[in-house]
Amino acid sequence: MFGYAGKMLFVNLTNKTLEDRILDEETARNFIGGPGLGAKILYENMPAHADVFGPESMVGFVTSPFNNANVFFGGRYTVVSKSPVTGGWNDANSGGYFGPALKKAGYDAVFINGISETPVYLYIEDGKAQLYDASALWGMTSKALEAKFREIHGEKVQAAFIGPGGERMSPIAAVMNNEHRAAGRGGSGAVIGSKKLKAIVVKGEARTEVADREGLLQLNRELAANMKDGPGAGFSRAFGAYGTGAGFTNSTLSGDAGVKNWSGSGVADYPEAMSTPVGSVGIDKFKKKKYNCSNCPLGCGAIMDIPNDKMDLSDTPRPEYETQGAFGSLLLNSDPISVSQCNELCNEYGLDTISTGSTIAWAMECYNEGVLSREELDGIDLTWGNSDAIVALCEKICKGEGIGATLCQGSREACRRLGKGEEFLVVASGIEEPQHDSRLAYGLSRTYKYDPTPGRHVKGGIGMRPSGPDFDYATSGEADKAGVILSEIRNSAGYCLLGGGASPQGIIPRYLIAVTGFQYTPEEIDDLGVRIFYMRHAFNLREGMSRKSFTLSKRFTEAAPPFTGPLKDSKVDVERLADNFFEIMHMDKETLVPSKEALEAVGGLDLVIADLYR
Amino acid sequence: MRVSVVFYELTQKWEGTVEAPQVLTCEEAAALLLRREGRNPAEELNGVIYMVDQARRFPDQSLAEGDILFVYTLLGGG
Repeated sequence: MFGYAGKMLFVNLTNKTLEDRILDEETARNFIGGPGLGAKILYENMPAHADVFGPESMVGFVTSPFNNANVFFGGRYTVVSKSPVTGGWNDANSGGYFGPALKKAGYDAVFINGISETPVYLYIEDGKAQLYDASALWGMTSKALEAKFREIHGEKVQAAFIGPGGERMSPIAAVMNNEHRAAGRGGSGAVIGSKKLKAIVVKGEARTEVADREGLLQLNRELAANMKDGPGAGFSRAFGAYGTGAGFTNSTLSGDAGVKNWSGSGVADYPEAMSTPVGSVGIDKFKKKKYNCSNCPLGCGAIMDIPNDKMDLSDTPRPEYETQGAFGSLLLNSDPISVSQCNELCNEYGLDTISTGSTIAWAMECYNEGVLSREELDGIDLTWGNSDAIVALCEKICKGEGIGATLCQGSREACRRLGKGEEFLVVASGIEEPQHDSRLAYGLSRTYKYDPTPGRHVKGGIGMRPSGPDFDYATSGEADKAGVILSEIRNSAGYCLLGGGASPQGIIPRYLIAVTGFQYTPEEIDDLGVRIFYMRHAFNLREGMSRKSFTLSKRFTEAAPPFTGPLKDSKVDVERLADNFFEIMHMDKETLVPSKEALEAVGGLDLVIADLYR
Repeated sequence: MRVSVVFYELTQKWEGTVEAPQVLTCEEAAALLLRREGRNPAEELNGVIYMVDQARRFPDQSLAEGDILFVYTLLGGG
């Protein structure tokens, strides 16, 4: 089968069994890989209502046909599990080099259930897998851990792993690879920690055969030309030089990025003099080299050397846009060194920077409004913009010490445990929000609230296009569905979201056909995207979720007085957007169950139909 | 009328002043400046955000004499 290793590994950590299973062609064609394949496998192999931290809970590391296939921007893999935050479906993807390396080691995916009595790691080399004792590695942070794996298994190994955050089952724990790449969102790191699994380490040299190599190379040439002289040139120059934070100042001033825990605006509270030093242009003086993920022609990453007397930042990744926002504008912090210190801490301890920064923002607003006292924060004076206090609290969260043991549960759970501050929570079904305000780009609100993985800006829909009084609700359903189809296929194929800005329109399905040889028609491509959405969504339905299960903080739909700036008076009708989306997706507007006819029309969902219409 | 226009592009900002005998809308003022620089307004003003006096304005809203119009391109980061 072109584009695939054709084999998946199933591991039970309770009884230490390892089993190879064939990845059949029909499943590959219907679900591609990544979150699509992951949702299909977990739906079939994990019982409904399984305790997220129990032995029946399953976690998957899923590659895609683009991994190791020489597709530009095709290096991302996905971690799938139940989310300990939402209680529903979770998938999160990551770049770097692990996904292609897992494929080279001989597997399209690894799925793990059970719970080991003692810490272990899984080592795979050239199609052979074995569990190793990880007792001595438990507690290790990212850089030291990866160095240790290189020492044990050789320089060519790649690893996906959890840090101490995942070990203590923090619901904001990420799955890390390549020191600073993270499948960060939704808490899969905690699920892996609950299994006492420290890492998957892989090595191998297997090739991924593609159906039409010349066609694929032609697509790469087309893409490269688009980046050099075509419509993608401006984007590629800016993001290639400065990464995702190229437009950080723009985003803070225009109302895109979060400011002051989403209660403020850039023009009023976080002006250019504060944002510019934090953004990628401001910190460019610290850059020492570019960083590219596997087979990426853009290279939006960078490694920096930041002299300071508090922490070794001589080899630290440039904070991504989301991290600049979460530890910068959201906290009114204008000190770029402290943002990098927090970034380094989160990477080392394996926590999601968006959720960690956002949880600090919640605590900060609580403190400044007199809801949390200095004593409750272990003596930390968490005034807006206090960079030393931000780093001190971030370190406590990373280490789970003092108040950090509560805050490392994420903002919603911390709020519940402390019994206060609910009015300052900004979450979607408990997930902290990314740095794109849906009061500016209305369509994001539907995705934030109702995607199977709430609180994400990378899950399709109408996306980041700025909205205003002339926003066309009447056609939002069609645009939403089109965005979902594109997103589901992109994520399942392992294609980078940023690649979309550099690529010619419509290139992903063409790559997919060139790699796999599956001759999808345009109609089948649409069905593919809808099918994958239904599959992810079906996991939530089986957990008993319906429309009322999904929540979104009001701060993301309405700019309440005394709000000033570009979003003043902005108000988005998320339920109207949702109605339009559910209608065009043939979903019941209360139960969110898709019609039997719609499920049958896209095909490949027999088990879902049997469960929903038995 | 005479207005100033400040463009925030992804990695830099620049500004200029435009003059016209008639009242200008936000989009017209921004387009005048871009054309003067030999650039393509139809392409570059797609999806931008306008602001005057710290408040959002929309493309067809009129400007007043002496206004400073801020134009933000938005590509959103990762």
